[in-house]
Amino acid sequence: MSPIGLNHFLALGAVLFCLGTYGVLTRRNAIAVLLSLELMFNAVNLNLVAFARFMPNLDGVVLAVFVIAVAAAEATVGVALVLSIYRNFRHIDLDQVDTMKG
Amino acid sequence: MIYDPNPVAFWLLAAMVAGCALAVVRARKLFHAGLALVGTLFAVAGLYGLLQVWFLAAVQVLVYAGAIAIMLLFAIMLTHHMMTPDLKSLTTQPWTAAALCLMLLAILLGATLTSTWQTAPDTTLSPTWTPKSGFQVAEAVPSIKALGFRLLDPFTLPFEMVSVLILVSMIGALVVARKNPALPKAPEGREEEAP
Amino acid sequence: MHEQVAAAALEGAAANVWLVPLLPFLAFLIISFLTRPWGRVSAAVSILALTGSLGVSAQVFWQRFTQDAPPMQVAVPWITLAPDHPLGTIELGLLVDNLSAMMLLMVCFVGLCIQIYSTAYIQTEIAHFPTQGSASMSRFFGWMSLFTFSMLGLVLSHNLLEIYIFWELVGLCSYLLIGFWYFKHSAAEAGKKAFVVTRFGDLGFLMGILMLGVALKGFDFLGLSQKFTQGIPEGLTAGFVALAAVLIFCGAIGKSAQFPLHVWLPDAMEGPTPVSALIHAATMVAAGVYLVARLFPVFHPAGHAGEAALLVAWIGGITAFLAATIAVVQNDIKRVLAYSTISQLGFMMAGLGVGAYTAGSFHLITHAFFKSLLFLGSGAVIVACHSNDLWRMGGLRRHMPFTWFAFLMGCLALAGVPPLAGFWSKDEILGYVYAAPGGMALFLVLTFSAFLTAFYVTRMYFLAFEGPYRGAEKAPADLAGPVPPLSLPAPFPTSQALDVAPEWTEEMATSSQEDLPAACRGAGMEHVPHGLHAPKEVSPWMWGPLLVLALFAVFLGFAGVPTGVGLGLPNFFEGFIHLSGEGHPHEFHWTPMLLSVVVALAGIALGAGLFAGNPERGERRLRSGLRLVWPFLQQKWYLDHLWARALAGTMYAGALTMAWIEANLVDRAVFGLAGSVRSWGDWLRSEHTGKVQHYALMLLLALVLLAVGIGMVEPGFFTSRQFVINLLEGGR
Repeated sequence: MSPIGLNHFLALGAVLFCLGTYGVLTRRNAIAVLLSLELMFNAVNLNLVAFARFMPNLDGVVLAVFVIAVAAAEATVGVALVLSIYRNFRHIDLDQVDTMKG
Repeated sequence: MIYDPNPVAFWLLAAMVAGCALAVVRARKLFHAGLALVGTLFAVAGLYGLLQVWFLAAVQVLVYAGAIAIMLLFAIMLTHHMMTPDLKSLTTQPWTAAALCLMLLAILLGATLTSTWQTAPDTTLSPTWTPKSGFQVAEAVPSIKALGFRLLDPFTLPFEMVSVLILVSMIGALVVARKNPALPKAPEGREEEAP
Repeated sequence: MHEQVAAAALEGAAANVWLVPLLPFLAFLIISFLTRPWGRVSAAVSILALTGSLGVSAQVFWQRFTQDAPPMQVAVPWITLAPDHPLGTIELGLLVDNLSAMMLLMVCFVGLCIQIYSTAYIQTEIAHFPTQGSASMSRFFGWMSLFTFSMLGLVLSHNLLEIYIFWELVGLCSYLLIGFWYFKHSAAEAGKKAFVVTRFGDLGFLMGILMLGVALKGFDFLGLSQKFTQGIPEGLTAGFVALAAVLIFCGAIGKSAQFPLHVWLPDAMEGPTPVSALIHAATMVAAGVYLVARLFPVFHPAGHAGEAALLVAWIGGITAFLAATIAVVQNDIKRVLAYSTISQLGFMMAGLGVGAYTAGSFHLITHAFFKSLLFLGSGAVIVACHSNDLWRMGGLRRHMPFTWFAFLMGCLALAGVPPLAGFWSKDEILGYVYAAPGGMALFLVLTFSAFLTAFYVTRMYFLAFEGPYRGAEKAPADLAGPVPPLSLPAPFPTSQALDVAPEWTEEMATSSQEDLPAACRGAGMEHVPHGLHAPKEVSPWMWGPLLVLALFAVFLGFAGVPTGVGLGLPNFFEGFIHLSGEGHPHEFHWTPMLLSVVVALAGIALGAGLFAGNPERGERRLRSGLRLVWPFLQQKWYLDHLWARALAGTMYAGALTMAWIEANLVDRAVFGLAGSVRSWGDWLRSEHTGKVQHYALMLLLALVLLAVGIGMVEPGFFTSRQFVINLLEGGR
């Protein structure tokens, strides 16, 4: 087996990111969309940590910590939004939440 | 020498990450998707461990797998019949989305793999672990101590701002999720209309 | 910038001359904003203001008359152009010389007489329209005051641009007052016609002003006049000056109703009769003559008639003849007077064209008095008979003695019977034309016109004042009534909209009844049942001014008796108004004077012979005697038709072309653009689903396209070493 280098981690991050994007675009359930978003966050974090380890530069890890913190905040607000949507629409199907148009 | 993680561990973890992620975006049941997300998060934590960033691995497990994923699962259970199998998880644009995502992947991979990264040889990073002495960590290894100093020296302002952000998001979540009597009542019968 | 002109500043009474136009303007403001609900108060305000103006202008006149002073003027800068601009500063100012002082006095005096007359007259017209009340009287006097202000401003104008402003203002007032009964279709149309037709002339006027002013670097009258006293100014060709003069004369053609733009004036008789007297007989229509007199040196550089002056003379001659012939066949008393006015203005123009500066001005003044007298008299007659139709009058001499006397004096003055005012002034023009080199043909035309004048005046007088009173019942059906307009196949489909307003017709009188608001119906003058009672003399407010004006019609002529006649009278008028630096009393000829007496008496004799005993028979003999000429004259030489054809037709063709362009080019472009925007919008709107995932998809699509685009434009962008270094090390 060839040695594992930076590119392996970056490629894995890219795959993870694209899978997350796909989920965001295709899931109709709002919570599923939030789950997919978490995948994208993780892809970014993976890249950051990999860079931090191979460069080597500690800043990447610091940034990853920040990303985790922001992701937590995002998840909090996201879930609150989902609950609010649920309360108003009695469902959380995004393809039926189409009042955001003129 | 350049840091060289264990290839077997990497490929196992990579397979787990990709597989669980696929499950997250394709699972028919929302609860399964939630569980698959937890799996993905654990696998990513494992990758962090493989990279010897132990602190982040722990944070990933504690914050993500422990807190965020549980919160999401709660939300699933609050809003949805947990195991409802009739959840049609795909909207009307799967093929377009898939094509675009593949193109995005191609672009990302192309840009990544054709770039020359300025990697540096890391002589101090050979993982040494003995039962007696535990982890022997060289100075340059991203230790918690170094991380702590790093957070407090150049990143003080972002650090404090993130704490404010988290506070704000907590309050905001409370405000948004609160029952607002001023809002008009949700239209009745909408649930019956939904397929 | 201007050459230094020998002109004194305003002093003495002339220093107050600014009050003359200002007082009527203040009256206009007061009436418009304060006394509008009270018609009689408005009339009092207007008359008081005009009396003040008359007082000041009389002082100014007396000062000019007793002192032999150079022209006086005062000016303030109005538009300051760039310092190096050749035109320098354009000024607004007042010019007081003998001519303007004379005109001021005339306008104020005649205007005052007419306004006093109007206080009684306008109420009789208002009484015909139930919806009109005291406010209409205020409206009338307000606009009359505005007109008086504009006319006085025109007279006092110091330069060409300023006179143009007032020129347009009097045109506006004329429009407003012709269409005073704006709900009458015919009146509204007549006002529009007057406004539009004079506009053609004014276009030329403006071009002429600019040519002359820019070429000579200044617009003021004194400066311009002085540049021409020694001949054509240096640097200008005779052709240029002639063209500019002709263009300026175009304005005079329009305003003074000269051929071929005279067609508006007869229709302007739709306005109340005092308006006809003031604007369309005495003052505004004389503005063209006044303008030519003001710019006399431009038409006659160094005292020699230029080509433009020849044109002026012949236009005047043609107009005098043409209008006199048409006046012969009119049945409407106001139209007879309107054509007579056109004809007399033609006389003035002819006089100015051949160089009779003094005579032309003199005729302007005398004509203003006797023609406003005749118009006011006709107004009184119309009030008494409830009709404009001469055939419904008759025998008024016994019923309205004061009006009769005044009207008779006016008729005699117009006919040119010595020693009344019209005789002396008209004769002086004729004498000048006779003496002018090559003027014999013009002299014959004008003499024949004078004969026609005497004839139609006699006809009008006998039909209205002699014989028995006919009224509506005894009016001869085959003779009375309006001239039936000849129906021409219109050159375009919507002839109604563009055709010239047809003459006053019985048919129109009824149809215009239907145009009126319901409350005003049954209100036309022709429809008041009246035949049972005989006409009565009008109130003293009306015949009083008539007698005053009659006094002038009789005696004013003695102010300008040629010294050659040997009455022992000095020629006051010539002493007062003559060209500067030129004390030439022109040679007096007995031939034209005797000839004009002969033709006047012949015209009167012919008219009396035909209409004295049995006017119906006389009219029939006249019509049969004229044979085919009669319908030709009745249709006004077909000039209205010509205008309708040539002008309106051309315009209509142009309008059709424009409509085609509009519909097929402009509209298509605009609608096409709008349609494409709309279809794009429709497409985009379908993308605007409100679904957040669609938006995210678009976001991703844009990202991919952007990345691909950047990659295609600059292939190494994402892989270049520098990019990566910047990306990774930028923060370090």
